[in-house]
Amino acid sequence: MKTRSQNNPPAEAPPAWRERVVDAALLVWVAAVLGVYYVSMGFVDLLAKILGMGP
Amino acid sequence: MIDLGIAILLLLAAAGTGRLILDRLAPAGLGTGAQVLFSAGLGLGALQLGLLALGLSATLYRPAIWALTALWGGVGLISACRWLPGLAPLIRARVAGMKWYHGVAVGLGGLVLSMGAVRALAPPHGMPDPLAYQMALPKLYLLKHALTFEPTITGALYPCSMNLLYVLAHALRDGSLAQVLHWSMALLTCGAIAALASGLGSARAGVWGAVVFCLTPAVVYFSPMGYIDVGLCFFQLLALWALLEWLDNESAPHLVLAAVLGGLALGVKHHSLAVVALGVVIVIWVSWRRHGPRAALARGAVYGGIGLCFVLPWYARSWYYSGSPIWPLANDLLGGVPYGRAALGVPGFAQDALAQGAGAGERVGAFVGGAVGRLFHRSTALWDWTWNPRGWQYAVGAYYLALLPGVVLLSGRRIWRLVGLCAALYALAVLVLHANPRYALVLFALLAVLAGLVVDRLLDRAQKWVRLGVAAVMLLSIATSAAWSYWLARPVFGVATGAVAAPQFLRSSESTYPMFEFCNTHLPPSAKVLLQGIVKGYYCDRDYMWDHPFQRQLVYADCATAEDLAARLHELGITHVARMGRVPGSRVRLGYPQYFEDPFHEGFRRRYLKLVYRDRQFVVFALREPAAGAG
Repeated sequence: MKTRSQNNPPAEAPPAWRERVVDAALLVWVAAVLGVYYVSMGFVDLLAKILGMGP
Repeated sequence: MIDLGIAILLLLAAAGTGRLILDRLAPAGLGTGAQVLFSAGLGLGALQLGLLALGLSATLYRPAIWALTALWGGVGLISACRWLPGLAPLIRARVAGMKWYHGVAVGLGGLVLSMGAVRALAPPHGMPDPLAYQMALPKLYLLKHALTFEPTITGALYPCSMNLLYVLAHALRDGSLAQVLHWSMALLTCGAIAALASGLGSARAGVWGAVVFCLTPAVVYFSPMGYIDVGLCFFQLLALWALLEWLDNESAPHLVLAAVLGGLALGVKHHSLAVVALGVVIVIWVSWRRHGPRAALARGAVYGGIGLCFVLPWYARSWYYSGSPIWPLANDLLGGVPYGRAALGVPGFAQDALAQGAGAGERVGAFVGGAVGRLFHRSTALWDWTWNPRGWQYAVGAYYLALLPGVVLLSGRRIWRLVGLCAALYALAVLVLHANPRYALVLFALLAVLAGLVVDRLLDRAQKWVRLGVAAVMLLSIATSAAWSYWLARPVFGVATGAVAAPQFLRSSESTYPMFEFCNTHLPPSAKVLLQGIVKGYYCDRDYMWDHPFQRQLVYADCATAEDLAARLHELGITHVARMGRVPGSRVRLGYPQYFEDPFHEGFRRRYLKLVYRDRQFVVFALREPAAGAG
């Protein structure tokens, strides 16, 4: 007779490729949002100015 | 710098006093961070209640405030000295698990907070709200030694326990200490976020969560000023955190702790009603499912009842002075001293229904329909708060939009509970009450916890390129935020470090200061000044009142002639008039007269006002006796 655990095996871990796709999508999203925000709002220019590298 | 030292001592004393209270409440199983932060909140709450007692009993004299603070602080510091040093090994253990980029993030986050401290050390100037209400009222309370009713000032009867700390600040030092106390609320909130995230994930997640919150533009901008919103956020966060602890334990002491902290949050501002109402629903719902209706109603009553006890003195004060417990909010429903804007404080979409005199069913329909409609409105969307904020109070930055989709990486019942709490809070505070992000900072504090957990999870991924990419993006963005905070603080470095004297700084930085400097030195102590077109009365050390269009103490339309107006001003005890030379169009549209172009006011000025001061923006008049004007 099968035990309960054998009838209901633990969920398998997601395949590695799926994890990579999710990671890549998140990384692109985070980098894009933060990059566009900090450039378009002038924060990067400000940092450059303070460091003496700005216009 | 003395202000910073005093603030640190007050926080230590708060933690010590609060610890004694927490020990009496005895909720078991709290983490170390929770103990420290709950203690700080309880200790500050105890001090606020003491100040409230002084204010209500009209004994708000400096010696009484000093004595209360010395007693509270002495007990607290003794307790803190016994307890806090034992935390050092625990902190060292947490730090041991960090990587280099956590250190950099903490350093840059600390730089942002330090720049905030520099700005807080400057004399209050600039933004209108603190100089009109949040710090102006405490100064008036101290001047009059009681929590008096100032019927021309909006929010004069709101619960205002943070403002009581500003009374203390003015009794001990000045407005800078009040600003430092508000800034220290950001510090405490960051600590609470770190501890909460630490309990849900790891100390590393706590670091990212705290950094995300302290870099939120609205927090960076407002925390060093004499607003109350970050303090409100801190107390609301503690209340919700305690509720989450109760959900894990369901013990009576946890419920009482959550209720007490909810009550302290209610004492800060009416907005906490949403938090406590949400708490009551959660307590009843969870208890009903697990223990049945009887236990659910009993627990809901205990939670809500204890919470209400803390705010009842505020409601009683409001009712005593105005006839309404929440004057002037919903004045047309509750009655009370007349106030110009009929349905002030009732969410905008309900105002139409109220104005039309619709029936109860239609009102509820308008309320719910409006809330649903706001889901698609740009004023309530994270996207617009990120990219097109309408002013600093909507500026939430990019971290929430960038990181929250990563919640899909998280799992666990406690995480989803937190996600559900954020969703409920968003629906209630933002969609229903239409609070802007500055009023709903607690939502962002909770979202920062989730954001911290997401960053930590991404930095824990197997692929090195993910870890490096996330670390690089986070650190670069934090560095640019630090640069911005430095840029904000740069203009006040001189006055904050004492190189520039405060009056000299204020003469060039705060437009109302030179005029009130004149009033404070040339007008008799018994003078009472009418502010015309001006809302910032903070630097006026004489008694004063506003003439803004919503108040009903001085209604120009009720005065048919200049004699009537002169008689009314004398009746109100006005001796001088401080006037803005040219009232901005935005205020004129609200209903302010353009005094120097208004025939009625010009006629009155010629007969009854004598110029005693003039600068580029303001004038001060002395009011002649009615008989002299008539002659």
